[in-house]
Amino acid sequence: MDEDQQSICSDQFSISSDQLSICSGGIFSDIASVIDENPLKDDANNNNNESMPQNNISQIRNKDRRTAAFIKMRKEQRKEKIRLRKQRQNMRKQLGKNAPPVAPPKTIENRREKEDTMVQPDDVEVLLDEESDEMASYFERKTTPKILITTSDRPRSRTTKFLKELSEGFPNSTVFYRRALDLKKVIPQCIMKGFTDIIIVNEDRKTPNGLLLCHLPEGPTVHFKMSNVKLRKEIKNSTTPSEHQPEIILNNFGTRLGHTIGRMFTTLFPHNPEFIGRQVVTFHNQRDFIFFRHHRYIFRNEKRVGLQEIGPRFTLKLRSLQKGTFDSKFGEYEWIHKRHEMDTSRRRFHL
Amino acid sequence: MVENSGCGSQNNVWVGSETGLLKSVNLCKKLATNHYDKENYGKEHEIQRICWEYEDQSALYTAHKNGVVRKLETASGGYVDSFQIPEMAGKIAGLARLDSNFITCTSNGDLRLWSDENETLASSKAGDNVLCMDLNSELQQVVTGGKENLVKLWDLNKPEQPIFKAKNVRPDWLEHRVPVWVTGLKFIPNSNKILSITGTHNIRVFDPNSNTRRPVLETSYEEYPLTAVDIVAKNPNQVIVGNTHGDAAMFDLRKIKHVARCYKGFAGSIREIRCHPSLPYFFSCSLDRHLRVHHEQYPKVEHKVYLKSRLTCLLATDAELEVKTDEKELETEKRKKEKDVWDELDDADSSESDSDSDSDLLPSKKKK
Repeated sequence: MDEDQQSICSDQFSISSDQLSICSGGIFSDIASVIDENPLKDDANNNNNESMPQNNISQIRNKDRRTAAFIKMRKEQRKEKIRLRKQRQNMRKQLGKNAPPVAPPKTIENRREKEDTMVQPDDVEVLLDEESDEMASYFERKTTPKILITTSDRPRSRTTKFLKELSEGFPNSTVFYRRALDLKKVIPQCIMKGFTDIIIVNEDRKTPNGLLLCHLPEGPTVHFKMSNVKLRKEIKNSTTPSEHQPEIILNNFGTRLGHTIGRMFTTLFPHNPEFIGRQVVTFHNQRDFIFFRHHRYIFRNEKRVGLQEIGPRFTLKLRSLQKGTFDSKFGEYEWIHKRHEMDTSRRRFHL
Repeated sequence: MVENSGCGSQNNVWVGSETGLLKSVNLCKKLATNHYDKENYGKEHEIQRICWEYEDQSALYTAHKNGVVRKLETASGGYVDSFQIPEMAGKIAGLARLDSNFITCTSNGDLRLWSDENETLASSKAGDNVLCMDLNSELQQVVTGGKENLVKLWDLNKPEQPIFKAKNVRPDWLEHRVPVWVTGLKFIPNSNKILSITGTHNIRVFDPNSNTRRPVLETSYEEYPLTAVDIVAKNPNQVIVGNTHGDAAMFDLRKIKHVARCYKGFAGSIREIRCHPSLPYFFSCSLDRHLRVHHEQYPKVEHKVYLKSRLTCLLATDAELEVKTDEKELETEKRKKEKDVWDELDDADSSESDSDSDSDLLPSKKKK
């Protein structure tokens, strides 16, 4: 597939002149015009009924009366809502087969704010950027993953058990105790010994709560918040992994930032999955939370799959992506989560 | 009808990226185009520095990672010429153009004045690890600085020794030597003073004419290395800085300890800030692949453009930012005309109305 894409690139460039843009040079975001998706209003009357009382209520100075008026308004709104719903249901019954199809329910994912950085599959410039990023050596099959797993200093039993399970999940990984060593001194030694990634599990209050993933030669460092960590014995009907190399599933990493993170996860695993082992590792991104699951699957027949969960289960949330190896003070950040600026809308996601 | 020649026809910003593509952005037309040489794009051709040829902004030069300097004409948007920095090694710390010669500085300290025909006219050794350089074209002076490389001011006519070598600040309150890490330098216009920003989050002003070699003004901003600085064109007392954490702020040099204004909206390290030459806006490009336009007075982002590659450097033109200036002018003209009409009407009515109003107000007491 890589070769095909490369040939497409070269064709485009040979046809185009010096000035032609590679797809388009950039995407403008309309900050001024906020695309306000009006929730479907069935009745025009509904509007009038609701708007009038609202104005009056906030101007009632007496608190008891104000609360009473508010409660009354809410009751009326609910009545209106139920009436409309009954109307719609009756319409459906009447029309029977001719009824218009049910509109899909509005979810936060459906109504996600348009993100400029969503990667289009035919975007040559993004392809060029990705081909030459720090993880490219893995995708060109020049390096195989070798992972070092460690924790913050003096880990508790839960974290050490978690580390053991993690290392069973990632092929070709080794666990080392931190023993108060500086990460900045550990990293050059790792590079010398040929490690490609280093995973540091941060522990707080006797449980793992953070994950730092650093891709080694000069790669980006990603810092995650880790939550909902479940060890193997806490998962019902769980089983132990085998030595086979797992398949990887990456779901919903749509934006440019998501692509980078997805690529980093891919570089943790060996290139060729051993399908005979029937093991699969899933990184599922939903609403900026990344869910890690490790399963063994079996196809019972054409339609049904049986899944048995292996190993640890945890949820990650991206905090920052830093260019270069770990250097939180002097490194350059490619993306930092700024809560007050980025979390202002419930329908905006960054991955 | 006022014909606005500036808006729409000229690009507002030229941005260089890590993938070797030069992007021109036109905010009026909402157009961003890539300019690149057919064979010469990709990570090895990362654009590290960019500068105008002359003040008229008709051509610009981009310095690439492998030491090639290319000339691009802004009108046509095509690369016309290419040069090679003589004895290139390391990264490019600075690129400038003086009359018809180049001034380049590489990270291993090779500060060189060379002509288009690749003749080195002057060269000096600026030390190791030079990170930044700036040119003062009126005085023909160049300033360089870097990591463990103090700010040095060079005169191009006498390139052997720097005419001013700064001294490191005094040890801090724990008696530790403060490390030297100059990440950005700018000459303050209409004077000889040098503004420098450091990786140890300091903003310093040096005055070569004073008898101290230590900085004359100093302040610190946040806790992360400062990476971008620019001086507001209309008011050289105001300075805008940006750091690796995505914080940008404006300082006034007359009261340097006080952060005059903060700007929001950045997600990644701010690589370069450039102020608009005439309007109160500034452009910033950052590692999170966005170009942002802020108004100097307000913290929120006015325009944001996603440019797909990590951005490294930036040049701002004098072009207008908004299309609406034409329509706004028409509207104000219309309003003026309407006002005139109303004024006339008032004058006409007032002479009549006085008598009418009197009669209306007072019940007619007809004396019989």
